[in-house]
Amino acid sequence: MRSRSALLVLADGRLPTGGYAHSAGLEQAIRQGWVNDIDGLRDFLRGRLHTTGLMNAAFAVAAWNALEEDTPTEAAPTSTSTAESSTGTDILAEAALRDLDAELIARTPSPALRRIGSWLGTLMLRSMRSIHPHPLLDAFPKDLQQPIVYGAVGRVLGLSDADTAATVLHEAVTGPATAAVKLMHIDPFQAHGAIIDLAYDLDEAAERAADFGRGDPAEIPALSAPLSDFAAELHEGDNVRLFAS
Amino acid sequence: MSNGKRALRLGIAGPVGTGKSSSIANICTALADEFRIGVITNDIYTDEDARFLKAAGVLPEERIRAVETGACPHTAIRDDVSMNLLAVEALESDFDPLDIVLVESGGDNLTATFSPALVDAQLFVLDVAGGGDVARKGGPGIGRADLLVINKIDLGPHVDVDVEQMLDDAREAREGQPVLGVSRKIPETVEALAAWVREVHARFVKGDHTPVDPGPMAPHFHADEEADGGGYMHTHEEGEAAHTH
Amino acid sequence: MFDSSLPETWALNPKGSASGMTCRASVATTTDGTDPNGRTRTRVDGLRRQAPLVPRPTGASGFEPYVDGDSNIARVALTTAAAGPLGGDHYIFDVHVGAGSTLLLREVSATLVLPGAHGDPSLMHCRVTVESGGTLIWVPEPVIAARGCHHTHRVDIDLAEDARLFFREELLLGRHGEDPGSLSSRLNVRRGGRALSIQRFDLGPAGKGFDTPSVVGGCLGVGSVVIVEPDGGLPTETVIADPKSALLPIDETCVQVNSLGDDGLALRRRLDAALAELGEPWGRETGWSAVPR
Repeated sequence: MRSRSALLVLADGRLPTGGYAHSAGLEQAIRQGWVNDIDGLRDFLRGRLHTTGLMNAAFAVAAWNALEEDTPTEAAPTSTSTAESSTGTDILAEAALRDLDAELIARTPSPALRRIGSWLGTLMLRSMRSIHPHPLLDAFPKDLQQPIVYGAVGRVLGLSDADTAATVLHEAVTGPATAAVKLMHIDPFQAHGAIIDLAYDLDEAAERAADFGRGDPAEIPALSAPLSDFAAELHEGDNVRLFAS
Repeated sequence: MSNGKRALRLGIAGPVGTGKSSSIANICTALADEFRIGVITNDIYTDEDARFLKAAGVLPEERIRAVETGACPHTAIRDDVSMNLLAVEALESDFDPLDIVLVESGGDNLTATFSPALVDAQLFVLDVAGGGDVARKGGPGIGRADLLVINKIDLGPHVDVDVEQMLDDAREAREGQPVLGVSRKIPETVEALAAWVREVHARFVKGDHTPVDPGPMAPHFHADEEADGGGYMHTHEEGEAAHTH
Repeated sequence: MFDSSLPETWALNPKGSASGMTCRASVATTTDGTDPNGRTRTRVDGLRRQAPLVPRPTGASGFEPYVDGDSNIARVALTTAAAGPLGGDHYIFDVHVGAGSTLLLREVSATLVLPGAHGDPSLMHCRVTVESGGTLIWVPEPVIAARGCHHTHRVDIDLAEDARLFFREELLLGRHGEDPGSLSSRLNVRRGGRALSIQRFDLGPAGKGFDTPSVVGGCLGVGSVVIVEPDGGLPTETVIADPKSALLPIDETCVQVNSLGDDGLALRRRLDAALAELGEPWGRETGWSAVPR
């Protein structure tokens, strides 16, 4: 049952990985008048999970699968130098991860979202190295997009690829839903109600993401969300904002 | 941690408007010739404080960086320090070697203090204009920060505050830990602040400095959050579940 | 997510589905010496037609991105001789731009995608190769997803490292006042085998969440332009003139324009405005449209 507990830790919004400073475009969508009320929020979240959320989850699954089957889920003692050759880069399949990253970047036309994805990936890697030291994380390349890092973290924590996908999707909706309470005239009960309303969609999207992620990475659907791209770019140009994105 | 191989990380916390940015400006002006200094600001709205410091011209602009905290500055210095930690590390690496990195917390409330995972030492800034009784009220920052600065002491007569009484109250609340009354208009007080920084840095370099955690937040009131009664008292004790930022 | 009844790999099965027709057409170009000024000429090297997909050579007209009025290039217009594709139809269109040659590809009319008698999905699959030093300027007319259709429009473009590209697409959700059918439009631009610009719009009833404020909202027109210019000189910063239109730099030699419109006209105006802002040779201020008609 280790993986179930680890899943809950990874999915917890309080995990210190820097996500709380981001509204995933919601702040700007509200400013533009695209989202005005709880129904608008629910739609915003639904659109997000079926597009970029699902795509990112599929990339996390692909990264998970690019790593070795026998990736140890327990951290190797840091003092053991003899184990170095069998951990680190051997497990890493760095070229495969960089290819995945390039595929994801080609599906992320907004430069702002590419920068944020890389920043959040680096943050997650930095935090997880402290939270759960592991040779795979130590050897993991920097500056990769966050979904790729999620794949590695899922592996290291002993999650299944589908559970890793579910975590990415969960964060894709809970991030903006939590931000919504600070941005809109809604209360936290409504915001979380919206997430529960989407539970079936989230579960289904996680399964589909797992299917896509296990196949040819070149065929992972790009699932574009132009309003999210516009929101990210508009937000960069806004001088007064609560959230970084 | 205090092995002198990286920069001394010094946190500056305190309520809105007490003069955190100007304290940083004072420190930089006084010490810029002695130390290689970098600054990280945490703003509530985008990068105002970073812009203030850049405009003040106390440091080369590129050594002042803003971290956006998603309307939750106290989270960024305590519950989830990942963004600030990565920003500090990036600054240290980009301008290696730096002697001191100052981390300015976004002005929030009386209770926010830095995690020892982020800074080696911290100073807490109050000001005379905030009321003479604030120091007596105590709290983790006032009581246990490495240094308490009572700022704008020149304003005492204008706001009916007995500055000496306020300093005495602060010393009592701090049980002998250092307290400095500072005004940028009284050069010797600025020099005393610089001297304190110099001394902490010397201890840090020698390896004699041990970071002290001022402790968890005291209960505080979030008037902005909508709930029955228009807000609620709570703490950020470990394990407390109701408050996800 | 698009409906899973449409297999992702269907495009790889040239037999298509049983209920409709399978049709293949192709265009190839090659260089053909030089003009008196020493500039490379292009000729059409192969043209395969199979009704209803009929590519035919054509002349210059209107503003043409990058190649405006150039008499040395090859121009081909693709005609869809009947309404369609219909449900069950499977069209394949192959384009091969030979090394150093330049092709301007247009369409005579919009593609109206209609449901077939059996409600089967339809597919248009364009497979494009642009060899070293080649240039493809492709300005198709809109794809209109009529009520009840279930269409996949897939364009795979494989570019050599130094190939040049202008590709524009306009997708419209239904004819005027009509509920839209389901349309999945997929554009895969690869360069030297590596992913460069990959987009997919899953719109209409099978495109879950498409009509939400994080995807396309209430917009009925969705469009994009991808420009690859190996010589560079493209903007390296985002240009956002309007909250529903942006020019997004992919890298120093590639930009992507994405625009939305409440209808087809609004979409076209935004795309044209973004291209005009980008300026010559890609776009120009015109009275009503920068698209050759």
